[in-house]
Amino acid sequence: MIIRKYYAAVSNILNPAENLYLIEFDTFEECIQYKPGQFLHLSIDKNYTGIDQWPESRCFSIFPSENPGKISIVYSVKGNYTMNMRDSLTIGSYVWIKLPYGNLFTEVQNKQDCVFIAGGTGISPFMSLFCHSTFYTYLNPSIYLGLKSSKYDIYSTMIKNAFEKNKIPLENYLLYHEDNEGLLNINEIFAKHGQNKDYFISGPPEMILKFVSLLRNNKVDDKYIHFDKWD
Amino acid sequence: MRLNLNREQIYESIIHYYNNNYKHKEFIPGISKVNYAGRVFNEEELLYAVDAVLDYWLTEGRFSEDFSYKLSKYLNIDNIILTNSGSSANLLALSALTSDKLLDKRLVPGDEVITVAAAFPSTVVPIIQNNLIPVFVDIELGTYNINVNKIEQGLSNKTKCIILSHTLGNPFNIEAVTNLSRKYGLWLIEDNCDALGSIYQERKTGTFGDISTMSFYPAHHITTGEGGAIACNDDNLAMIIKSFRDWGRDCYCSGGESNTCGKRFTQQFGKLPYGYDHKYVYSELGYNLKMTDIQAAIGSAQMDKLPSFVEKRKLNYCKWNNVFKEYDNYFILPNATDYSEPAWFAYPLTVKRDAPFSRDNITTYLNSNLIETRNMFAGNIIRQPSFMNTKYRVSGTLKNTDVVMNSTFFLGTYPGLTQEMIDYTIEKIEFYLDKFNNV
Repeated sequence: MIIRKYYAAVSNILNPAENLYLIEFDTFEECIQYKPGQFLHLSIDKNYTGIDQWPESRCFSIFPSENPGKISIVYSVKGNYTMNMRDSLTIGSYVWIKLPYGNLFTEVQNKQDCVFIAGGTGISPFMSLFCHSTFYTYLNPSIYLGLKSSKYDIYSTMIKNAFEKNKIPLENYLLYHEDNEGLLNINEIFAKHGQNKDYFISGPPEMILKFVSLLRNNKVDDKYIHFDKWD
Repeated sequence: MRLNLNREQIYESIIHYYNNNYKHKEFIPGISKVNYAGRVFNEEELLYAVDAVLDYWLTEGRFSEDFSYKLSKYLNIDNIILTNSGSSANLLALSALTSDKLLDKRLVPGDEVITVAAAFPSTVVPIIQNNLIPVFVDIELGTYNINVNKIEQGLSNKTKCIILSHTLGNPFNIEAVTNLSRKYGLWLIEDNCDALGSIYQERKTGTFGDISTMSFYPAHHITTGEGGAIACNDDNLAMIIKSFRDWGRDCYCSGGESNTCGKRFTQQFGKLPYGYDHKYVYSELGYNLKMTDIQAAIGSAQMDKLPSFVEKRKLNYCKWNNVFKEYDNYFILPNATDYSEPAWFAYPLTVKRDAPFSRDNITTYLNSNLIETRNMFAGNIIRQPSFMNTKYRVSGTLKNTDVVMNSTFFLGTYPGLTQEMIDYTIEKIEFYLDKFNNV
């Protein structure tokens, strides 16, 4: 896909729970092209004109948006950059975004019984797949989502809708609230699904490292383990 | 796309310069040359180019992005990779197919590639440069494209790929070729360098092959001076092509970017230490064949004119055809391939064996009257000095290819041809040919 820069305006901000933000950007284009699982770079540098060296930016998975000309991301405030985003972005403010990047799902050969494991906002790249017209090609997928608490759940309705639309049993979607069910347990997930399944993992870097390592220890071949772990 | 910075004065000067120097070029019959091709532009190309210079970004930047986007929209193709020429695009297309990343689908030395010898060298030479063997199949006269009935007999267990151009804008029989490529699991590279804007079965050429290539040399449908591009719908293949274009780099950051993948220091590659800077990881034996942003700026302006250029080429073709159909006793006239609407690169003619003049007689006459013609590229490429010690295979005979070498030439159809130029040329052609009619 053609990677393009957009000088985009913040058109909506939701703050459903503490430090959790869903931001929508208006690119003023009719349609923004990207594929499920892809990510964008976001820069809030006010001095950038679109010509010089690309300024400091951060990667964010593209969250599905109902409007084809708008792009959404979900982020939680964790470091300085996201803190700056929280403090500086208001409706109408401008940012530079650059997309699309990544190939999380483009190399998937076997779409039977895939296992999607996400922690927190890490569900974003999966959401763009679940809400995409090609999701029907994934047969009998299982989804494990770990959230701090039910307050952070802005995803379940969309996931359930996607499941219904694609006739996937709702029991394949397992939601874990840290304050009730505890953390996602990769050993339990592995015990249920076994070795020759494709595992997609997305979440905080430490979670990815731990889960990937546990799967490898259980002799799951690297070709079955898919993740985007940004620095 | 032009930035509204404090550049207005410069823009005004450029428009003034264009109006004074280029806008009203007078054609004087017998004194001015009737070129077969050339750059067609207005002040927009100059403004875009200067804008890119004023940006002084130089390497791929906002104009490259814009140009790529316009091409991808025009062709309805996901990936466009800009290159410094159409020849480089062909080199990259073949080279990319040798990548280890393609596993058992990759081309290896000694594999055979079906093509034609009545071609421009840069369609054929990348085969040899990648240690592959070209297998030449004869063409048809009239369409000047591969004789699809002869392809199957040219296949062997080493055949892995087909590379063909749409000769002079006339699509080859894409249906037959794609059927064969599917049947035998062959890669198809569509050399669309001469055919940007041509249609086959209501779809643009350059959208059928696994990879297709374009040229923006001044003789072509749009120009960036030097320049070319690759179109490809497969994202993974596009990444391989881009890697070959950009020194073989594994990282896909553009110039001035770092850590686009977000994993710059946290990956393992080959036998390098863990976390070795991804920007300096090379997973292919690549080249540097990128386009500059100044070229892309011109390309972007040209893209806005492409539909009108295509129509003008079609119109000019019709004008030549109306003349030459009166002389079909002397010439084999061009045929558009079935189900196609060519955006003609040129108007090809083959002087018949029993005509009272030769190809060289008529082209010498036209050129002496300042009317440019061209032979059909390399003629029969295996007769070229560079092929004397080159390994290739010929399937059957190249009888028609030799006819092209000896008897074919073409006139221009480019959109810069004015009615005055065409009228002057027709007058000269009729004068020349009517002498024989009156004998």
